[in-house]
Amino acid sequence: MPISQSLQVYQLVKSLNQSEKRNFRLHAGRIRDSEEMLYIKLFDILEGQKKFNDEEVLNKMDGISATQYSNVKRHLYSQLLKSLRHLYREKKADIKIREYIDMATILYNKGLYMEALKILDKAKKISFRNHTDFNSLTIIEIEKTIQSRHITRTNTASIEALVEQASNISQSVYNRASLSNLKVLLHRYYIKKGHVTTAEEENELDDFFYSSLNRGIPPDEMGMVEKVNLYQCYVWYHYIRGDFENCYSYAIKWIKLLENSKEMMERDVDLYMRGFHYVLTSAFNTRNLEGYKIHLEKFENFRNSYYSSFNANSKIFSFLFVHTGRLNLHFFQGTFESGVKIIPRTLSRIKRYKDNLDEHKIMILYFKIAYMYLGNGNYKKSNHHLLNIINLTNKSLRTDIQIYARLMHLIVHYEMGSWDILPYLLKRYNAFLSSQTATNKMVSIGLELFKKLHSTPVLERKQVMKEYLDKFIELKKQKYTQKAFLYLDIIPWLQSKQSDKSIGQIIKEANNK
Amino acid sequence: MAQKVGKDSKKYVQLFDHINKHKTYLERKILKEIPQIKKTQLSNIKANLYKQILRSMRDYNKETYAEIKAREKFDFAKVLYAKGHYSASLNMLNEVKKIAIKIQKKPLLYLAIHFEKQIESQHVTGSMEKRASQLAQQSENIVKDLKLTNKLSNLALTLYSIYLQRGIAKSQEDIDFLEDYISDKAVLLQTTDTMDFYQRLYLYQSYVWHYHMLQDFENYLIYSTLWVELFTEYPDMLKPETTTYIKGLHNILNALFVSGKSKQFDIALNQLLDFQSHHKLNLSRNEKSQLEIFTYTHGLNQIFLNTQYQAGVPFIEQLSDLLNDNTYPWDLNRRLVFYYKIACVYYGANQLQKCIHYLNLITNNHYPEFKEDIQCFARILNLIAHYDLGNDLLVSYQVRSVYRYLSQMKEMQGVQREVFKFIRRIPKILKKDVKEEFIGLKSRLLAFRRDKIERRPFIYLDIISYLDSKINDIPMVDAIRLRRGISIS
Repeated sequence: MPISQSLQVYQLVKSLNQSEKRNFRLHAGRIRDSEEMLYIKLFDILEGQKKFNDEEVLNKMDGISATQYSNVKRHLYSQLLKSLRHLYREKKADIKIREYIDMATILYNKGLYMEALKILDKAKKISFRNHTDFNSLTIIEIEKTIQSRHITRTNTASIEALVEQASNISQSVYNRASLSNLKVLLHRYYIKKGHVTTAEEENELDDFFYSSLNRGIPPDEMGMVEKVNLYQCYVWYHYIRGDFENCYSYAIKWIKLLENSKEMMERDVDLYMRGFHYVLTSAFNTRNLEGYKIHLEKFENFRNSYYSSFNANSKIFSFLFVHTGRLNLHFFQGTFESGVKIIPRTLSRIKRYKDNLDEHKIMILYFKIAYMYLGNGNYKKSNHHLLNIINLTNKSLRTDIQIYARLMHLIVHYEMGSWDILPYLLKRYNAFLSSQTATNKMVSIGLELFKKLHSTPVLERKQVMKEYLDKFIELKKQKYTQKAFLYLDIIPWLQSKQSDKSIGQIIKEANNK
Repeated sequence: MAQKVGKDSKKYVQLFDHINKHKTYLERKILKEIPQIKKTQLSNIKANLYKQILRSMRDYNKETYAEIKAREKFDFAKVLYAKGHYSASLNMLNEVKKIAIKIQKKPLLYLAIHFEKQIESQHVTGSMEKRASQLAQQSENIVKDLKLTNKLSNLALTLYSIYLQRGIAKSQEDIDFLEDYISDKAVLLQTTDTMDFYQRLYLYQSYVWHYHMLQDFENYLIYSTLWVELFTEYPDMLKPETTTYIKGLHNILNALFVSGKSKQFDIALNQLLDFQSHHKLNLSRNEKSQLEIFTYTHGLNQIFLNTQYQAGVPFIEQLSDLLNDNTYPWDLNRRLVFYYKIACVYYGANQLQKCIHYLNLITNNHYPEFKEDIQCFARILNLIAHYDLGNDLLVSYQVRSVYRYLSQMKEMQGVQREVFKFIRRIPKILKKDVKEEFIGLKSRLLAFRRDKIERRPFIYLDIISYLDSKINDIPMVDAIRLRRGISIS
């Protein structure tokens, strides 16, 4: 095992909770082999480490050879996974189903056909209840094999039933796969191109979306799982189109559907929370404050009552969605002052989950944090978080956010009065913008504004800003350029400069109108 | 496993040791010898023991069954994902995919890709742009493949179910039915270059059942051969699909047997025996069981083909030992067919008492679910054996038994009808006229022998040769050899 894989073992050990650790020790107690003492020793060492240090581990494992060390690591890794799998069996239906399938395979290979069929029948029931079609398909394939090879009675009713079941499941698998493919392709489209920015792009998207949908079955013949998939596709589609009204209503359908089947909702809480995330995002984008507040509260309540049953992954998701939801609520209401108070908590979560969060998610959070500080006049702190984004090595990731961060960076420097650095930044950011294929009018006009401000005497700046404020207001009215303002609304800032009010006050006044 | 802590778990280990030591399972004895186990607990402990054994076997057999190993890795991927270790989870899925491709398990491959899709789309890893379309394309292809695989596997299974219900085509009506059925599926039955292992396997199997039922031996042989040759193209599949391979060889042998090609039959049988001697140690009980069924079935067929009844006796003695010991989980159907064939060999070897013993295993009971024709021929052969023994009293009892059975049969074939008619007249036949009557019956039966559909009953019980032997006062074996000699020239 190379070093990177040592880290993998370390991270796995560190991610265990108390009961999982206990279960592992019990599990280890059951297995007695020559390497046993060593791998438990390694577990204890890793568990005790605050920061991963391979050398220290090797020293504490006194006198162990390099090959032996790597064997012990591998052994520990697989034993950890085994004990976790064992522990999750009761929680995760599909792990249990696969265990049954394995047991049936063993029984079948021992020639105990009826016993194998009995277990498969149990597995099939769970699989049907959980809509895990691919497991059902596997189960039915084994049943077919056993029926055709070993059950030589002349009663063929069970064979006919199997054939029927297999056809149904195969159809439903096909539907689900098409919808999930569509979902992934929409997602890719978004990552690649972002929201549609021209009529041409929108037509192209429409063609793709509706032609893919038409190949599937009509919605009224769909099962629950297919329907959720369908709603997700619609959410994505409208989201990319920037039609947040429709996006909102499909996201609502999505969470309602899951609320109607508690079993399904509890089985996939991540899916349910993701639904909320889109409800909130589209409510935010359509300025639907009432809808936003209701659903954020509902989401918070759900999270509170289910948090103890969440696995690590669900905890991470719930953190991302709920914290984003809270930050956005402050932006929505212009309450930057109380908004900055929740930031330390968000930062501590980012630190806790940093191994599990990808750059994209961290970047979005930093962006929001920077904006919160900007709104509250904490420019230094805002600057600090913006630098985290600007210094990213992966320049192709969500370039739109990276560009907005740079524009915000200019605002922050303007506020801090760091005039000498401005020309340098302008030059760099112009270069960055022109290296992008997609044009962004809001940002190019923004850069233009700062260029002009730099060469304008102090007293005339207000007038320049007024000019640009009107330009931006005009830009925000246009269909394909308005989306840029969803991420960074430069207008309240410019307005605040006209009236000597804070950004928060401007927003609050606008909300009251 | 035995080290698991806790009181209850110790009990199942005790139960295991007890069952392991004793030949019979007596609950009374268990409760007496293991006082810690209370009567009310026993069924729970039993269930627990059963699960624990299966679990430990699952772990133990992981290396033998690639599928089990792949599913374990898939579970690991799920666990790692739940813990938030996304890239470790993706690594695990890669391993699953490798195994799934190697053993052609498309559903498993799909599961892995589907999960990968989910991880990639929920956690933008930067590679999404390229991966998304790749993954969508891959999963679309697999799902299309699976749809076709499922259709073909359904077809193969349905044809097999038709075979179970209707047996070999016995009338023009049956033939028409089968041909209509298959022509409806013409589109499905087209081979294309892109078909994978399982699609081709199910396709060939469909044809094998079809031509087998039609008694089109030539095509039956061709498709059985294609089935077996598939494994030359996919050598990795031999391990996970051993029983399928064996069943393919069986069908080749069967096709050669029913078309009487003894030379080719001997070669193919050697292939099966070679396989057995090369792989015996690595086979599961199920695979061994299948292999034994077919080596014995075709060992018997070889005796019939080459009319070496006397020489075959040691071979069938081995088989009867195996049947008595109950070594393998062979169902009743299988056992009854073996009994009948063993009886046929003993009859040919002129060991009539032993012949009758095995026939009684079939005729002394009523098996409504079991193949009618074998039950019918068992009764006819029983009658013949008693007749040969000159046991007149028992003969008249056997006549009644055969008569009763035949009159209750749902559908009789020509041969059975003629035998039925003949038996009805037996009480009226005088001893001196017997030869005359045999000649008459023989000429009526000969007509059936030329008919493709009606000739099947002669494969196991060559009544014509029997009649020849009675008419010419020679042993039956000689009569068969004589007849075959004539037909060859």
